[in-house]
Amino acid sequence: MKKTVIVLLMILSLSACSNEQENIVFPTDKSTALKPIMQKQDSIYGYKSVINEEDILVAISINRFDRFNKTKIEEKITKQIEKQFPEKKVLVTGDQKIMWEVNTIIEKKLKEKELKKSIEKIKLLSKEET
Amino acid sequence: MDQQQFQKIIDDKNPKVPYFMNILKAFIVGGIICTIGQLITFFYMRFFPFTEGTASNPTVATLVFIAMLLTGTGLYKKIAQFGGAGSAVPVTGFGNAVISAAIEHKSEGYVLGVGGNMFKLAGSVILFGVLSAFVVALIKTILVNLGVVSW
Repeated sequence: MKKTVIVLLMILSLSACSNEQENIVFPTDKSTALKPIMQKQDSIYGYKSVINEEDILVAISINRFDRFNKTKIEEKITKQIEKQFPEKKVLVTGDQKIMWEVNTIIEKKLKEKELKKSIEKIKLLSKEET
Repeated sequence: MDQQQFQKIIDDKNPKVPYFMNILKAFIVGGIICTIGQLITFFYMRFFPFTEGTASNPTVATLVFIAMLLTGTGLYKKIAQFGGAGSAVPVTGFGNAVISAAIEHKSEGYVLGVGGNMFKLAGSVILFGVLSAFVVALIKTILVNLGVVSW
């Protein structure tokens, strides 16, 4: 009994440590203009982004205590990206669900048509209020 | 013997309330309930199209449903005896208050018994919840109109 508890605690503490966030922009060749903007944000510890012809989706991981200002941080980063890419629609969100969805896009390496479809799906999802 | 002396004797005779242990138990039980709630939130976000903002609604419904099962089988009573406020403050405590009143008055019939007494305890929670939400919204509206804070 005691041994199992110790093993469980060890698994918990170890898995918590290995949860490092990586910064990815998909597709990689379009990342040059976005990277410097994201790097100077000090209230986030990671981001995953998807770019196509019309849209930019950025899912950010906000620091634990900065989550109280979630909407303000999202607005701030959105404005900075919109300045850099005036012709594109920008969606910046700290939502975990969107982060997972962006991650599946990156893992599946979707091509243009499917990419557009899933980006539309994510945008609809982020507008959902019920 | 005046009032104060009498009170002193009562205080000496009464068993001491284990405040620290009660707080610790409430912390642990409340924490476990909230962890379960967070897991349910993640479940809804992973397997259904809910976002962080919208997943809270089905989570609350699920927790109240679980509280209903536990209240009906008498398990929630045991949890509440151990956890105290830790089991009363989360939404499961609200569910327990509604459902235990419904079970208690079932013998008086469904309309006047269950329907009339279901919100006996939880009614005040709803009333003052709505009232305080109204007052807070009023204060915030005034502050926004004065330009002190923004939405």
